[in-house]
Amino acid sequence: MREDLEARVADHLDGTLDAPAAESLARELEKDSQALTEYADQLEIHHRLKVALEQDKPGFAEAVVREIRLMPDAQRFSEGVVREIKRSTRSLRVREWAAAAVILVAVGLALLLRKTDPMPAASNAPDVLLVVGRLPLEPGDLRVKERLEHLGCRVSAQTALQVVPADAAGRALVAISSTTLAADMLDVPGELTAKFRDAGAPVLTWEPRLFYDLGMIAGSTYQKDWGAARGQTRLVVRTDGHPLAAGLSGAVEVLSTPGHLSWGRTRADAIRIATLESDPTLATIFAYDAGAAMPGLPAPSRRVGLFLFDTTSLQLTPQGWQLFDAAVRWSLKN
Amino acid sequence: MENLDDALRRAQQGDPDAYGAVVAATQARLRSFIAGYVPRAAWVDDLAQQAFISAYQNLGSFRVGSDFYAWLRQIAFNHLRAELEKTRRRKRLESDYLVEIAASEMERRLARDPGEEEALDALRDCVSRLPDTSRDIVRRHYGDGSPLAEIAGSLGRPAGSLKVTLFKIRVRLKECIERKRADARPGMSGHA
Repeated sequence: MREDLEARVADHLDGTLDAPAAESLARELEKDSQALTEYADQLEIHHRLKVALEQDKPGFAEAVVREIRLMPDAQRFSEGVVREIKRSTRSLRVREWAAAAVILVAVGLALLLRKTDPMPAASNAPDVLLVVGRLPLEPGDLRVKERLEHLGCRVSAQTALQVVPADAAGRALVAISSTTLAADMLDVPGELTAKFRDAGAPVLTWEPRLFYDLGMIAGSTYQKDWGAARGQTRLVVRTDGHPLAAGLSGAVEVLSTPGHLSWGRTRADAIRIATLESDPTLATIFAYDAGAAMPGLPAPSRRVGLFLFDTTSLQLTPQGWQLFDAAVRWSLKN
Repeated sequence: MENLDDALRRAQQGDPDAYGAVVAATQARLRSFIAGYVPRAAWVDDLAQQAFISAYQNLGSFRVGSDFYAWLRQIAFNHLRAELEKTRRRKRLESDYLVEIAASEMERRLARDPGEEEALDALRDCVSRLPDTSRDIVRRHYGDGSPLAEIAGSLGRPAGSLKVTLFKIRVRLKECIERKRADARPGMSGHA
């Protein structure tokens, strides 16, 4: 590696390289494969030294346990604790047993109360499967889940890695977040099929890469057929009067600060509700009714492509939420 | 600590403290594995935490008595690969281009050579073999968290020159680890 590159890599690892210089370093490393290899070696040793030489990682195990206690199955977790301790304390004297029971009830109640939703879904609430990239939910996905619950849905979240096509059975809706890695959604890796391509349940997704895999657009080329436009706050509603337009028309501010908007290049036979402001052919809200011809297959049930992206739910304006709500409600009326 | 298998059995029965003990016993090794393939230091703990939580969620399918760390590392490998691929796929969507190209390179490495069994011990041993001054710089910076400028001041050297010195030390440590790996491979012993 050249000396000037060495110095900049050294600055970068010391946290003293500014953003333009880092960008310039990246361009040079990209053109020089040997230098890139050496840079990766530096990263490897730099990061491993921190782990190897730190005295202890204070609180790491505690943080993991804390996350586990907050997981959706905390109830099962606490029940497991109760069951196990009951089993192992049968031989205790009565007073000790009673004291343990009081503590267990308190702990169990605390965990159950933590899980209790302020507005529990009704027993006939639509059952929604939210497919995400990781659990515990990232902030953007958490906001979506809360909104779905606000709409009266019972939501269960699963990661794209774990979910299987059969998980869609009996669901009122499968919502697929852009935090999923598209490769995890492929039923057969490397083949152009997706886990919910043939699902009988309605599918609502804001993972633009999946638009093609789900048969919703004709082309698979990034930036030509699908993508996420950065620095956006507005989309343009072009099919007003449709339930998916939520009563809105024309340019609509959907994000309070500039962010990414997912888009797909649809054919004319799609229900194209809204597009990017810069290009009326790139749809930010589009849909197919059950049985409609999609580029990849006849729609097994309703399909909706939506403009959200990983964290845009944190920036949605009231109009943005209106459009989200409309997409959910329309999908549920399959 | 108690036997790892005993802790795993108790964790399978829903004891969070037992699982905490499992995490404490394996986290350094797992984090060292992850640290070798990430473009940013902040990813290390994030991915390690994800791996431990995924492992907990699937603990019922783990057969106590078999190699827990190997199972855990495979889970971490899947998370790592997914995160690297995602970063690469989003190329030019995000602002940190250096992270993106580093992620691409790390993804290639992970696919090519995902196996380092004793990287943590190897690196510690390589550090112990450094010349005194180099070892002191490394321990103060990475072990105690002292800023390079502070170390440079105490050594009476310009901070810029110490950064380059540290760069050279990392090259030397990488070479040391590679030699150890080569020596550990069957039929490769005696490597200089």
